Amino acid sequence: MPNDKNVGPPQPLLVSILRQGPYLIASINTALDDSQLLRFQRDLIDQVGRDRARGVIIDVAALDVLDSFASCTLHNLAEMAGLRGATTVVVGINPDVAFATVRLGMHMDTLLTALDLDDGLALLDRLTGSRQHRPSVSGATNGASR
Amino acid sequence: MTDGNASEVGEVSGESAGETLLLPELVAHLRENRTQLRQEWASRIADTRLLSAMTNKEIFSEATSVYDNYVEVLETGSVEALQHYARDLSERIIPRGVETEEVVGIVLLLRDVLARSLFEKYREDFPLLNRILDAYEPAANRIANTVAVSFVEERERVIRQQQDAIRELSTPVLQVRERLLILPIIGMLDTQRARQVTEQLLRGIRTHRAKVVVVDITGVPDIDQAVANHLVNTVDASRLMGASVIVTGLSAEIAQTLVTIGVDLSKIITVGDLEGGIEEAERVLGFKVIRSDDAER
Amino acid sequence: MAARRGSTPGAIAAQLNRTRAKLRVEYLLAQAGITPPSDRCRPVLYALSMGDRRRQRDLDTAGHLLECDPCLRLSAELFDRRPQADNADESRVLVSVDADVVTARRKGREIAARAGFAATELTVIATAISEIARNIVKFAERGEVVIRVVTEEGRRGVTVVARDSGPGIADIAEALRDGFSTYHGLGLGLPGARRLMDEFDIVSEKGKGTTVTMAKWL
Repeated sequence: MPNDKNVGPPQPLLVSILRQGPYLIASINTALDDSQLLRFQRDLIDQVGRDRARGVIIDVAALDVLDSFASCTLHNLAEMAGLRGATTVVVGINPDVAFATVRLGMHMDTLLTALDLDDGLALLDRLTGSRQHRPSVSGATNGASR
Repeated sequence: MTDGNASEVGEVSGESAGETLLLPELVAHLRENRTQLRQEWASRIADTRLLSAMTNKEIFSEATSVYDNYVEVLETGSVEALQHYARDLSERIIPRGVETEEVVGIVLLLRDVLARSLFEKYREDFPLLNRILDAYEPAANRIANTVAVSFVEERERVIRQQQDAIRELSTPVLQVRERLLILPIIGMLDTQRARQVTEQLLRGIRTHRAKVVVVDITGVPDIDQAVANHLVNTVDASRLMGASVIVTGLSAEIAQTLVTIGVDLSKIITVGDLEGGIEEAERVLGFKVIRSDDAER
Repeated sequence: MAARRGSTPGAIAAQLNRTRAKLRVEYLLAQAGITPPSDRCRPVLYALSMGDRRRQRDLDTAGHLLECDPCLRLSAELFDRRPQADNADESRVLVSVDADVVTARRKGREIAARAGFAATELTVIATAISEIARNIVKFAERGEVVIRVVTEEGRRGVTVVARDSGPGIADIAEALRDGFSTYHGLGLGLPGARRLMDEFDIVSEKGKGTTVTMAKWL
């Protein structure tokens, strides 16, 4: 699991990436700075490749803002994941962040988004033609996403 | 960080260290006579019937805090703590109906009570009394000012909050079915109200897990460009939360405004009337389609 | 110390302040030879010493002082040297690495909250701060972001000043041009920040540095 591996005191888990069938669920647990975002992007793409994931959910509920860099990173992530055969859905953008991002002028037209993990997985199912998601499963996923 | 506030009091009195040396003596006098002066003040408050909304016990308790804060300002030259206290006090007493004039009134009373005690103490030495007052008066005025301003600011904050609450009540978000919200907007839509609408809409999407929101603006005659922009942003923001917005009741005027600001009307789903909008929403949600295809249920 | 204990400097400082506040109470009690008559006394005295208004409210310190004379006497001394509260209406953040951008926007959010901004506006302000703070990290070695509550002509708001002595921006007009229509245009984040705030001003001199000043009003 990606972690801040720099020398120093143990950090709380910044991000967790779990596997759920053919999908990866990546939860960002706290506000990340630019280098942490880049590391996250790299780690996630690596794992998409390793696991040959068909879909990726990125839960950004814990991000305090979605500024130009974060938006860019998410878009890049989706693009790179797409090159590796995975569809990406971003979930958990909270109301204030959504509005500020739009006001900032970030046009997220090309990014797939859903309200939360449940909806995100359902969307992935529809898009990848699978029937992976059962609503009851969402309760069993790692609590780190919230 | 007091930003050298201690010297500020000295500056206000416009004199040299001579004046500021008098303050510690002043402060000591006020501390020594705390019980008696506070009592005198409390009775003056009772006489003038200020703070009628509060009980005697409460008045005494607040009087103690005000007195101590007052002396602290004189001592440290910093109104920091006093500001905190004044805001805190205001937060508590405004809902009780205490008026600005009462709060300013009691602070001025305290100023007078303390001034009199200074006259009393230094009446034998007029020049010294003058110098003491030169040090005391600017500080005392600053205190009265600080309290009044804090109270008024807090009052304004409360009023703003109440206005928000009222606005919220006038723009209800209705959940009619699973994942479907309706937001009827009636009346003039200004920037303030538009902000309110946005907040309620986006929070409503989260609370009710809405996938479609039908925003009915039949009752809105016209909007300016700023509000139009705002609404377009709201639609985009809704999309980021996984919800689509159907606008119904779009008048020709508003359509024109939207086109003027460069909105691509084909990006916004619009339907003639509310009923049609709800039908469209249900269609989008798949309610009329064979259920087994729908992965949500 | 913070690093050793896996905490933040802010949390450690707060803890030290609390300990200091408690010690002062104990010292005063010992000096006056007072044994607090009830269980309520110590928590009340601690809360007074820490200057923690919320706690004071929860404990109803005022009510207790009315009933408890020893505490009342001690409270006068506690007011003598209350720890200097941080200037709550201003925050200065030094920015040189990525993590500072997050700090700057967090602090900005706190200060703006004190000014009275609603949740949505707080995020807008935080986002704007993030954009301009990032410029300092990207283009200058170090700089600072100062967020301040202001009152001007009766209206209240918040100002953000981001200053650095980096290389400066050669062509400000170009930097401000709104090429932000897609996520590809990262640019300098300036047009974005300008869009988010009510007032926006930038002064930059090549080789000297850049100062961005923004404001938002309630």
